[in-house]
Amino acid sequence: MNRNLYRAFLLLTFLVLNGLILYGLSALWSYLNTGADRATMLHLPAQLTANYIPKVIWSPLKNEGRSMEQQTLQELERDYIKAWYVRNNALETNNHYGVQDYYTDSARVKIFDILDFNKENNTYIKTTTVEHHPTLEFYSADGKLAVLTDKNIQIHKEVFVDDIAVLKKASESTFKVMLLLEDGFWRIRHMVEIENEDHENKVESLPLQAFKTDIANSKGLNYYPKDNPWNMFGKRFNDTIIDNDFKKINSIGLNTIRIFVPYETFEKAVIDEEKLGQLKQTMDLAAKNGLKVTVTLFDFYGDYSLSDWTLTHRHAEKIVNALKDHEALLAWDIKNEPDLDFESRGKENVLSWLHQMIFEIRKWDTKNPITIGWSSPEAAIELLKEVDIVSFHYYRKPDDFKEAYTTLKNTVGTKPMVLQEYGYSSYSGLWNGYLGSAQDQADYYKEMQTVIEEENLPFLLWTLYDFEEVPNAVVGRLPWRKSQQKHFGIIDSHGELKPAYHHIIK
Amino acid sequence: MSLLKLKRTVISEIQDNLKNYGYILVLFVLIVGCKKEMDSSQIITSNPTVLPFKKLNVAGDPIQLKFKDATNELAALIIENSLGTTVLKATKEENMFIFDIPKHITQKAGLCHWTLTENAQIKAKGSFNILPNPNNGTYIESYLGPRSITAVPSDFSMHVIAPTDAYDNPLSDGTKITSTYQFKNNISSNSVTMKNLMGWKNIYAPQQAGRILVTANCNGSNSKELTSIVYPGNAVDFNITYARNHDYADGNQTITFSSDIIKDVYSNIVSDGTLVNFVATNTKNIRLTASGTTLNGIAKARFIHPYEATEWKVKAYVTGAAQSKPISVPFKAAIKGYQITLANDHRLIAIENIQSFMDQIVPDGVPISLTIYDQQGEFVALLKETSRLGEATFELPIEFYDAGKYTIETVVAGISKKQDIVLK
Repeated sequence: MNRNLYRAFLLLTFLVLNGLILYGLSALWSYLNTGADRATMLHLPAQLTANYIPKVIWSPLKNEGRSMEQQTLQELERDYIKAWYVRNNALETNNHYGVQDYYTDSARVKIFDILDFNKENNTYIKTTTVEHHPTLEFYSADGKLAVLTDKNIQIHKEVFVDDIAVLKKASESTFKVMLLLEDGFWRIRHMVEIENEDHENKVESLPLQAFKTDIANSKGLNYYPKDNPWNMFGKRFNDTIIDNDFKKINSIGLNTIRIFVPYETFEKAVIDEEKLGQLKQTMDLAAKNGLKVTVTLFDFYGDYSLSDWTLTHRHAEKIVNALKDHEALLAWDIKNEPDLDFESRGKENVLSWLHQMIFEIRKWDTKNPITIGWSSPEAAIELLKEVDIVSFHYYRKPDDFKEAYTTLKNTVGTKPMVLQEYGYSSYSGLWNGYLGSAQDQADYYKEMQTVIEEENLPFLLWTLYDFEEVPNAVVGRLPWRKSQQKHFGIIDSHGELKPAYHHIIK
Repeated sequence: MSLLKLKRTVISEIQDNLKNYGYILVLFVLIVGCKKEMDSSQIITSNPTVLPFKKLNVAGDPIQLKFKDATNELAALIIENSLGTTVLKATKEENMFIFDIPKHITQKAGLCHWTLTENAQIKAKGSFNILPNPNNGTYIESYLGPRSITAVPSDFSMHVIAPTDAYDNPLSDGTKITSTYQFKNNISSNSVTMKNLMGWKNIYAPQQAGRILVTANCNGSNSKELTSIVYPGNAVDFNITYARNHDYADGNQTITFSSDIIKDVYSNIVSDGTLVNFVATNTKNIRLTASGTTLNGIAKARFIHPYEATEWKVKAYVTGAAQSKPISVPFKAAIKGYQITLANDHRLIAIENIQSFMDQIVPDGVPISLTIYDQQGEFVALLKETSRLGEATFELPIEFYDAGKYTIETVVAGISKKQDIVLK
């Protein structure tokens, strides 16, 4: 018996050993058969995905020399913008990578001097440009040399020494640039900063009359469908359900909703056309059911870094241009509760991103008001001058609401204000010791609505339905928070209006 | 392990841990201590003001910014020029901060912005301009293109001149440049004014083919020499002639067509290698072509003589550009006659005595055809042969041609003969 076992063991070991040897040989064989990637023979430009897409607006072509071909102009623009991108990158990392592709021999040594100096002094610079206004000045007859003037480029810069920010600034600069076509690249040969022409970009808030009545009368709620909250667009988009919901919202006497456009789900700067179509469809359904819509952009977005700016701008540009003339549109809400990112992302970063975003959206849409959904009345004092409507959320005790509101109101002055989110969970279960109830919720609303009516404050409550599921991204994984979040609706999971409703609509 | 021992181990472990905690505590105190120190420096605020500085500088000149009432050690001067951003640290002198702008900034022309910050607070800012410095020498970068043009009024090479100073800064707008070119005996200069970092001049093609040499001069510096080649323009219409040994259509000799010297509109001989197509059309409207390329303006092409009397109309073309006047070339018959000899019950047909214009035996290879018709005149077969030593034979084997009456027709060099035969 023992002997048999021993034999079996030997046999197995032999087999396994053989297997391993064969495997080893074959691995060696296949390794030896892998050659260098053939593409490495070619001098290809550093792979740059579309991660730097500032707006480029060419002046009409009136250049000297040869008349410019559209194809070449596109190539010139591509390489010129990439030259900015590689230089921005280089200044941030103090690494020469990519610079030689977009600057000629003599130009790149000057950049390398700066990079080496900065590296030595532990300095780095984060930069982005928002908008370029190039004018083609000259294009040579053989198509190998071009000169352009890039006017009033909006540049945002953060300068760091020893990882401490020493300067943040936004400025406009004008450059004259000479480019040479070398090895199929338009490379920068000369770049000289010159004085800006007088032309300043300013954010002007809209005149109040334009949207006052719509805002003043708005009573509504933050909307998500019952079965797919925080995940409204995409495969689970269902226009019948949304239509019915909107009908219901209208029938219970509300006239406004707030919806959310998630940044990543909408494919960032590219914009998923299908989802944009669904967003439009939602707006159409709102219009059909007599509802006005506040569109909250950049939901679940959390990077505010300069390198990400141009991408977010292109994202907003596409959505704003698609919806700005929609009859149902009430306002643009740039971001939901951005003040919650102050700590993790830096208050300055978040605020300058928001400020720039307002500025950008105002460029494309000159009619609809812009707001930011601050998470508390205290946070809503930020960017007061820039927003058209001051929106804030309130989830604290109703007792303190009036005071918080009045304090804010005194600072705000005449700008319209909206209580953009408030509500109370009727959750009663293990996590709160079965202490909550729909009645508590009703009491909350009773108290809140009294102040709201007194102050004639437009409101959007949270929310229509009790939800069955809440994604982790919203309130985290903790079950006691999730369970609370599931019961903020004014309609329970059986479709019945909760008692709170009677305090909201009278 | 005894209980006591266990206790002791636990206690010693706790002691160890306490020691670690001690270290951590010391570290913490140090960190907090350091932080406090930074805090205290933040409290010191100063209001530095910049002392007068040159707003307009010349590249390469040293630039210094001085700030008085500057006390904060954390002050940093941020300099932004056309190509990048740099942060400078101050040297302190009494109540003053002095910043020496490094060479890589002072040597780059263009606007420079400076900002003095303390703890990320902007304390002062301003800008100065650096102009290119042509005094230390001018370097001329020049480009010429396209480098090959044709001698037509509309064609030109563009001379782009981008002079720089010793630090590779493009010179200021308005700088005068001289663009000079030489063509044959003519040297002419043009004054060009710099604008948009460069100056440019179109050099139009002269009426003659040749080479244009171009150079530029700015502030006493000269560029290297650039060359543009002027090729002759397109050919204009021309004439052709021919040469041949005799005018007999013997199918053996060649006839050579040649163009006269093909020129462009300004009488420049067209470029060597210009392709000329010769097309000959015979009396049966069949076209023959041959082509030749020009050498010193002359293109030649050779055709072989036809076999039978005919007349060619010949024309030559430079495709897309020019053509010749047509000429006509007659050919006399070389072969006057031949004999048909029948043998072996008419199944062996010999064509004999094919003689050329001097009664010489024709060169081998004259095509001979034999067409056979039956009694009703219906076509039966076409047989082809070529001559050898002035004759050719056709055999009509019994396996293919049944016995009976037939008509045969022979054609040699256009001479056709008909004859009835009876096969047995």
